[in-house]
Amino acid sequence: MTTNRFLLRSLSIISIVILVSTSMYAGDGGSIYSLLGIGDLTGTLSVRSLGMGSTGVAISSSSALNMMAPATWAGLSRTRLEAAATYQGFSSNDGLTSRFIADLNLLNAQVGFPIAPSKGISLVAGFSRYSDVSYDTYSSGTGYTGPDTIPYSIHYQGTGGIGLGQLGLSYAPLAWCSVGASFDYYFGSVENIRTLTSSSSSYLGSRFDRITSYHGPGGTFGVLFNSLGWIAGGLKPLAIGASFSTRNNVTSSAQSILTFGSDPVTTPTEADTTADLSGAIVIPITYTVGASYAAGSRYLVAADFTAQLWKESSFNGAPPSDLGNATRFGFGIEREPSRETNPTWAERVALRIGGSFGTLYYHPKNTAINQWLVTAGASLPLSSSSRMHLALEYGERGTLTNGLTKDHVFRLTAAISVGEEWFVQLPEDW
Amino acid sequence: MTLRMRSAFRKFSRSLPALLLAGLLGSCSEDPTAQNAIVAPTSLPGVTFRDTTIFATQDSTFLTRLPMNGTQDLVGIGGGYTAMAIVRFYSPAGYIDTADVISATLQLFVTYHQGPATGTVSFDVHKIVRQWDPATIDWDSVQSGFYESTSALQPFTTTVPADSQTVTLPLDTALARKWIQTPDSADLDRFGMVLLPTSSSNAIMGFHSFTSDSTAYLPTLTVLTRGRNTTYVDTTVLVSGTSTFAGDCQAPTDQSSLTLQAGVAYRGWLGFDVSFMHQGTIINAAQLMVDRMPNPAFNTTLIDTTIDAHLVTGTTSTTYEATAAVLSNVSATSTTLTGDARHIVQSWLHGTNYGVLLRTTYLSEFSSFDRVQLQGRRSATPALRPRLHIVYSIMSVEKKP
Repeated sequence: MTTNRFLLRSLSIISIVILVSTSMYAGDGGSIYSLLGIGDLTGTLSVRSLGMGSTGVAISSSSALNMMAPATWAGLSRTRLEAAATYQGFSSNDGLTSRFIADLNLLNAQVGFPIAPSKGISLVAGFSRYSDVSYDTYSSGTGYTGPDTIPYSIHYQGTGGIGLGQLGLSYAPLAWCSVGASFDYYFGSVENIRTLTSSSSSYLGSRFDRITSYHGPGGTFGVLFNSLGWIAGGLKPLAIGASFSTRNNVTSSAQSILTFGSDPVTTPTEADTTADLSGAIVIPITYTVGASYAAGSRYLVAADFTAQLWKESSFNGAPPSDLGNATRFGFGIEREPSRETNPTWAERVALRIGGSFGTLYYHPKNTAINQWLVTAGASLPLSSSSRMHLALEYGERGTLTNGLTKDHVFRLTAAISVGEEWFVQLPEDW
Repeated sequence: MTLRMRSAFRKFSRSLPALLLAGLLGSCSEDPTAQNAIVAPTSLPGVTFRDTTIFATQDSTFLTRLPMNGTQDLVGIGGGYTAMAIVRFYSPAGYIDTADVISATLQLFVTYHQGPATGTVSFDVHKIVRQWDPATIDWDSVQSGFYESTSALQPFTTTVPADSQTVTLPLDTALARKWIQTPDSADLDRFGMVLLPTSSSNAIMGFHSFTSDSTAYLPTLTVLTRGRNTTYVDTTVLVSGTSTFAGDCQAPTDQSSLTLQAGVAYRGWLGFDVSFMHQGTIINAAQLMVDRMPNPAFNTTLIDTTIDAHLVTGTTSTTYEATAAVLSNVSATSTTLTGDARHIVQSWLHGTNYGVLLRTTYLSEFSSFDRVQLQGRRSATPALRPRLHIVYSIMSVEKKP
């Protein structure tokens, strides 16, 4: 395939993914918990990892890009272009009301160039959806003034999120060891809207539209020992890896647009814009350690532990309310594609199952919000080096105690991963 | 088996988009409402309602000379008021150069009067000697060099007729001739005339101007001409032109009241201290209330008067928003005028608070000598001082940056 054909095909696929994601975004929703902190943390995992219970820091791969583990990029053998979208649904129950809310979003898009595969040097750049704010709820009450009562309701809506851009390199100084690092940049905006309406026409309503934009740098580092055979022969199938993301100061700038009127949404009669309010949030250290074991020629078992220390975070200099440390333990099994000569299409399919359990960073009302997920995944070959990665996740999070909400979570993530031989140094006698 | 599996996977791959779409459509949920929304897992920023009545902390009455250019013009002296009418007729379509003017009469359609029921209006007619524009001319600009000092007419005196009646007066034929013949290069004789009241007046008369909404009541100039060497008499009727008036009076200097005086004009200004509310406070309701003092004897038409309240937008009270809150009587027997001032108060919170301007209504201010005297902030009756009743709400501060 020529470079032009590759580019055209890749761009078409990415365009379709983006188009579908953005067009389907309207009228959707997410978890009510996303009004806390910076919203639902969607992470930077590859679709392959999602299918294996969110593992992958100790799995080197030539057919997938895992942005949370820069050291795994050393296994890249072809230029790889990848884009993923997630459809997620929440069946939420607060003990009084049940609702199903769903949305479809672009999850990530990245490209990796194996500059010197023999030395594990790869250059990788990409974008991930780091957090997702998407809530929609109400409160109501009655205001009392001297001569009158004012019945009102407030509609709370939140949209947006923080994205993460990454540019990094991997390097394998030894055949069994690789390291990697990326420069990260957080950016994005969150819109929080509060619309006050009164059922009495004597009183004006109002709409507060607060748009907070975020930006700030960070870094992620990783190390991967993809075989421990150098310690003992029996440990050859065992790999261990770790990654570490720095504590990052992300500056924020908030501006509120206030509109007033009998119907402040459609026919505002007054408008006001406040000056920018600058602030900062601290995205805390994240670390992941994991191991994988190659059981035979086609099976891979992996387990990861991830922690993010949100108790050490701060929002405009203050400790975060309703947030706590997040942890996740995941495990997964992968049946890898056959390495035989001329395998059938079905034998080239990779299958995965897994599960994870952990505590989210939400701690409303001093209550830890736990989550468990069971996962399954597959990689379907589209050509010799291109894949469609699929991951299904289903699980539960939250609790009905303390007036909180329990979510049943369903996610389907699909990624197109296209590989092509760019910038690969061919043997001199080739 | 292998072929069957491959076929199955191909079918699955092809049907995947349709399955996804079906799943998405099937999962579409209606937007939440106040009744069925999921309860937030944390306390959300709420709202607190409050109401208060605040009184004006500053007030003033100030003179602002205005060009009138309204729908009626005034002439006369009475009750401390002076008004001179300024009128110019446009020439006929075809100039009349070879005829003698036999007579010229001016007809005015009366719409308004102030003063005694059988009051008298007396005025001279003076030729205007310079160019003027009704959109810019005011009392100050006609005090010198505007008209000839000698009258072109013996003082015309009339008892003020009832509304809708007419007043007809003869004009100087030489003056009228200048208006219908071909002008000289400088157009020096065509600036019109001033109806200048004399001291014999004790009332004010108002008549329809050229901007009246009824063409039947426009000022009318009828000129009779006879061609030279003929006995035929032609009648030329002119009903197009431009007019205005310039008025003056002394406003009361009573510190306990505010005076809104049309036709000159005097306006009022009020300042309220709303610093106890912050930007972002929602003004759910705001009623501006002022109380009228008894009508001055000379003004007889004010029982239905409304006044306009404008948001002042600059450091001087002459810059204000064009739209106004209209303050009207609470009831026929009440002295209180009230209006919706939500926009004004809300604007004070998200901008600089320059206060509120009070004036007689737009039409009245440019066409009459209506006067409204209001209780000021130093009124002996505190409850009647200018005041604002405000219902406002405050959203709690969000926790998020």
